[in-house]
Amino acid sequence: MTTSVSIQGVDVVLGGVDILRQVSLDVPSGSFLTLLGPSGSGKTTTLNVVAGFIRPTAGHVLLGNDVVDDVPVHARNLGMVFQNYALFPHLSVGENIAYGLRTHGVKRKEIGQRVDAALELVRLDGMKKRKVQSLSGGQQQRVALARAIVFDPVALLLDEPLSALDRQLREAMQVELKRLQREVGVTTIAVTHDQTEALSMSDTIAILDKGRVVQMGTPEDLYRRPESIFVARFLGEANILESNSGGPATQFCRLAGSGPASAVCVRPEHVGVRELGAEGRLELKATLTSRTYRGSEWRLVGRLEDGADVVAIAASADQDVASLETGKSITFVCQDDAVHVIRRESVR
Amino acid sequence: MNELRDALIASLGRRRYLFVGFGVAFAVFLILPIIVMVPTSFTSKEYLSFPPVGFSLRWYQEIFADYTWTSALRTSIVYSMAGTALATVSATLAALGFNRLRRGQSALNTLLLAPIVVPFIVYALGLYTTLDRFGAVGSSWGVIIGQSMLAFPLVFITVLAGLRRVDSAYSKSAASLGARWPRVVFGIELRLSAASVAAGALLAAATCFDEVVIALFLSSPSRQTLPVTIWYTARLDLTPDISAMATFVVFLVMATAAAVFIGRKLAARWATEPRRGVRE
Repeated sequence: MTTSVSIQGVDVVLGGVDILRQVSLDVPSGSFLTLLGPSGSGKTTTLNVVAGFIRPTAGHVLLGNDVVDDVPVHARNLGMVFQNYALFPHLSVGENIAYGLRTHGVKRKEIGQRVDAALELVRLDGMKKRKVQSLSGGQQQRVALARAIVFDPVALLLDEPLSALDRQLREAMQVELKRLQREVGVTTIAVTHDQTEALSMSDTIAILDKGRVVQMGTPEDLYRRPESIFVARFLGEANILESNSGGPATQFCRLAGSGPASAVCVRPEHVGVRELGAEGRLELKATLTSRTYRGSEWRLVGRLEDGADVVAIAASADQDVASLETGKSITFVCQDDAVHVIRRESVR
Repeated sequence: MNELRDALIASLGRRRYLFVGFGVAFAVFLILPIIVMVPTSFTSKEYLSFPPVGFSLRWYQEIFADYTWTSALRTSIVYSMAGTALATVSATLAALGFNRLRRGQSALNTLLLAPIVVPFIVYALGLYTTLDRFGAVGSSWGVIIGQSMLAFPLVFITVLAGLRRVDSAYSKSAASLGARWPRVVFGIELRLSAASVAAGALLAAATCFDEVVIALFLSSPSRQTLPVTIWYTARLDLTPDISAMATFVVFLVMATAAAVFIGRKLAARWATEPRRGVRE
C-alpha cells in the first residue's frame, strides 16, 4: 500500500559542507512531487535521503506515520528508477522485473503472474525473455518503471527518469509516466532539472536552491505567483522589473501596485506589443531590438530607455507583429492581472 | 583509425621496415627459448643437444614412467589448484571489502600489494622462520599458503579493477529492490565482475604453478613441485627428460588457453544469440 512521504527539518552536512539546510516536505499519499532545481541545489541528495542512501545529519524521514531514520534501504520498500535505469545486464527483462519480488519472498507462481501484469502495464507484453541490452532507451525506461512498482512499494522515487531519452521520446514518456502513476496511485517523488517535465507531470513542485526549498506549490501557482526572482527566472521565461531601478520600470511598478522596494514579474506571453501607446494602463516604451520567428510564435525583444530588455511572445498569426521591424519604437502593454509583485525581502 | 595508420605509415616511409624488423626480432627473442626447447625433447640420444639428433618419443615414455616426474607433476597441479583457490577466494573477498572502504584505501592498498614488492627470497625466508615455529616446514600447506600469498596481490588488483567498472547504481538499485547486502555483494557486484575473478584465478594458477623460491624453501624432499624437480635435475645434468617435461607443460598450458578461448567464444555466441532476429 502506498503512503504519504514526509521529510522534517533535514540537514545534510558532507565533509563540512552544508548540502541540505532545514528541508521539509510533505507528499500526500498518491500524489506526485517534483524536486526541481539547478545542479548542486540538493535535489538528488534529498531523494537519496528519502531512499536511505544518505543519512541526514539532522531531521527525520517519515513513510506514512513511521519514522524510518534507522531503517536501511532494503527494508524501506521504496521503488526507485535511476537516471540510467541500472537494469541488471545479466538478467532478462522478466528476471529484472522479478528481482524485487524475489527479494520480498513472493511465491514463484505469483511472481510469474505479477511480472506479466507489470509488463502489460508498461505496454511491453511479450518482451519477458528479451535481453535488456536489446531494448531501446524508451523500452528500458519502461522496464525500470515496471521493476520499481511491481512489488507494491510504499512510494516511487525517480532520479532524472527521462534525462537519458531524446526530446520527442521524453515528451511521450512524460504523458506515459503520469498515466502510470495515476493508474497505480503510488506516491511519487521525482528529481529533474527540466522545468517542462516538472510542470507537466507534478501535482506539486518544490524548487530547491543552495540546499533549501525556496518555494513549493502547484505548477500553476509557481508559474503565476513566484515568490522570488530566482523562482520566476527558473520556471519559464520572466521579465523582472525592479521598482528602484530609476528607469521606466519604476513608474510601471508603482502603477502595478508594488511597494517602493520590490519587483514585478511579467511572463512574456502576457506582454502585448503595439506600435503606439494604446489601451493598456500598464505600458512601457521601448525600441524593438530583435524579432524571431519560432513557428508557433514570435519572440520579440525590446530595449527600454535605461537599457533593460523586455521579452514578449506573440502568436505567429498576429499580423501587427509581422509588420514590425527592428529599430522601430514600440509599446509593451500588460493587463493588471498578468503582473505579479515580488516582495522585496525575497527579491534577492 | 585506418586513416591514422595510413598517415603513420606514410610519415615513416621506408623507416617503417626498421620498426617492423625490430618488432619481429623482439618477438623471436621472447619465444626462442621455448622454440629451441621443444625439438630437443624428441632427441634419441642421452644428452641434450640442439639441433636434436634423430627422432624418438623415448623421453616422454621415460618421464611418465619415472615416479619422480609424475609425482612432481601431480604435486604441482594439486598445489597450484589449492593455492589458486585460496588466493582467489581471499583476494576476491578482500577486493569486495576494499571497494566499500571510505577511507584508508591507499594505506591498505600498499599493504595488500606488499608481496609483489618485497623480494620473494626475503618473503620465503620469513615464512620459513614462521612456519618453523609451528613445525610446519615441509608440509604441503606451508607451500600452498606461501604460494597463494604471492598470487594474492595479482588476483586482488584484477578483481578490484573489475569491481570498479561495475556502476554503483546496480548495487543501489538492488538494495532499493529489497536486497540485503549478501545478495547485493554476491548476486550483483561479484556476478557482474565474474570475468575479472576468472582472469585473476588464471593469473594465480600460473603464478603458483611456476613458483620456485617458496617451494624450494618449504617443500619436503619427498614431495617436490615440478619447478623444484626441474631445478634439482638440471643442477646435476641437462638431460632430455627435462625438456620433455617442459614441453609437456607448455602443451598443457596452451591447451588450457585454447580451451578457455573457445569456451569464451561459445559463451559470447550463446549470450548474444537470443538478441538476433527479435530486434526491431
